[in-house]
Amino acid sequence: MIRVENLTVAYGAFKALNDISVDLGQRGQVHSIIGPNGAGKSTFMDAVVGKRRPSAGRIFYKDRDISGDSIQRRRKNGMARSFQKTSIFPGLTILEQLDLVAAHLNEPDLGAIIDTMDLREVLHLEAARAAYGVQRRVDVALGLIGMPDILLLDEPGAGLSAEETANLFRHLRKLAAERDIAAVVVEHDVEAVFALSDVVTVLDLGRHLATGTPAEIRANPQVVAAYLGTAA
Amino acid sequence: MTSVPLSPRSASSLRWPVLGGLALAVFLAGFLLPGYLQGGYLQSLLNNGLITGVMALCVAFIMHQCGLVLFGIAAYYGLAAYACAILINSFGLSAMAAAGGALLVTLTAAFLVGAIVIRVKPLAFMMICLSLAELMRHLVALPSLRRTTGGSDGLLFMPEGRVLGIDAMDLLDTAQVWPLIWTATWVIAGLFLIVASSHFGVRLRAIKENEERMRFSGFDTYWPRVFAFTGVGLAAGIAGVIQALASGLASPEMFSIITSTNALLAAITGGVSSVIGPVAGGVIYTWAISEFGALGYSQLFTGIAVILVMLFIPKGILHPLRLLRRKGGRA
Ligand SMILES: Nc1ncnc2c1ncn2[C@@H]1O[C@H](COP(=O)(O)OP(=O)(O)OP(=O)(O)O)[C@@H](O)[C@H]1O
Ligand SMILES: [Mg+2]
Repeated sequence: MIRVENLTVAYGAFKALNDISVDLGQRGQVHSIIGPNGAGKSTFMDAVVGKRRPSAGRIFYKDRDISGDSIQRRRKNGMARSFQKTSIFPGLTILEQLDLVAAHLNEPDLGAIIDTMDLREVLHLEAARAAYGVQRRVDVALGLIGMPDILLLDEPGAGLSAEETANLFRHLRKLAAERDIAAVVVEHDVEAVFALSDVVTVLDLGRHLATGTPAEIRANPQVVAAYLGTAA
Repeated sequence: MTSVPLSPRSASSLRWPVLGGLALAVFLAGFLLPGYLQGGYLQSLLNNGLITGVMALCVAFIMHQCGLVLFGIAAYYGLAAYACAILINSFGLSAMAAAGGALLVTLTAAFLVGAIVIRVKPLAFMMICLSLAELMRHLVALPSLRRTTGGSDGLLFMPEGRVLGIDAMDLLDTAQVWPLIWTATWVIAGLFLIVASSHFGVRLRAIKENEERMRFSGFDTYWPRVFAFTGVGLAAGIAGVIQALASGLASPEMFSIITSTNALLAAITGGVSSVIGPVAGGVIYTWAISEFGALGYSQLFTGIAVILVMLFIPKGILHPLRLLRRKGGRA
């Protein structure tokens, strides 16, 4: 669904992403992006959703060049994301914020999202007062609203316990399948990634190392050398 | 829309009818006030207090809904007053037509300014708004514009016709202008309250909280704030027109930084998160200034008041009451 061609993103003279070309986003599939700290994973997501302007390269979404589209436009066309650093509305209640976005994006079944993300008990809590794990789920829920075609999740498990992360992923898989969403997930936990992904892309120091099935990636000597080490 | 069942927290179903009835009673009782006050000091104090209160409402609205410190509300207050006076003097319009025209001018100006200042950073927003008011103050006092604006003495005018059923000349009387001020305050406070609790209000607060997330949720984050700014400018314009009609004068002081400061302080004193707070703040503030002003200490008072308010009741005088009520409600 998304085709990235020769994408380069620079912070000043430093190229956080260097000439990346990759296809991602098959409906109903989970496509993970892995790589060491500072590999450029978040920068990649930022560029895809329009938060960061690429210094070179083009991004196609549903076969249309969207390089010039605003964030809002991309979201309305079905491209949603969640954030590595929780980004919600702290002063609004959880219901208020979900409702606001749901009304705007014509979400047909907010109840299902609330149940999937296990938020029903805390709907009337001001988001700032909610536990961290709840806030993470609100962040993801905000991305799920409005029947997006593709959902980009930047370390949805950041700061969660292994069990919470596993739970979250289970929910996500279910929802991706139910709603036929393409999920693109950045995650640090390599074992979780290999267990749950259909496709894996490896970035390292701003470069695209490899893309393939978990088995292919595990066997890729370059990836093993750069990232997985002997552990895999 | 969505099928999220609201949890059973609306146990207080009686609350709104009771509050509504109470508000209506206070509103109606307000019209009897001039009969008791017989004009005089207290009446003019209340008149000025509510005018400041309306300005404070404007500042509070923008602060609470958009997170912006509007330190230049005087620009729209003064502009409306001058537009009204000039339309009467130079164009021979009736009072009502001039008032309408003045509000249209103010609306347009606030929209144009809003379209620019909403884009800039908070500090720049504050400084530009303040500068605009100061610029206007100097502009109307320019000797070369004296024939139109009256120069530094301000512009006196003689309104003709009726304004909402009251003879325009009668508005110069503190008791007779009261119904106009009282009604305007209620209408403006009511509208702000409705907007704040509407979908649009939630949207404004969400932009204030996390603008980026709003964009990532598909929202435009610019126009809602421009509209909010425009509405606030218009409300300040209403206060300006009424003040002009009540005094038969538009003066450069209306643009002054003191006007803006008073509104801001009244808003903070009363608390920005309600509509009663800023109005009460306006009245209290006007009263205190006039008390201490009579002793010649008004600047001193302002300084002390600011420090005390900021230190001890940064959320406004109504806040402690609200905390009490909340505790009481929980017990
Ligand atoms: N705003 C910025 N200005 C300058 N450099 C930045 C900025 N944001 C990120 N970088 C740099 O760009 C590189 C890629 O950062 P990015 O956040 O995309 O990495 P990441 O793969 O998401 O890392 P992590 O696993 O830590 O989240 C890093 O070297 C980082 O220091
Ligand atoms: Mg990152």
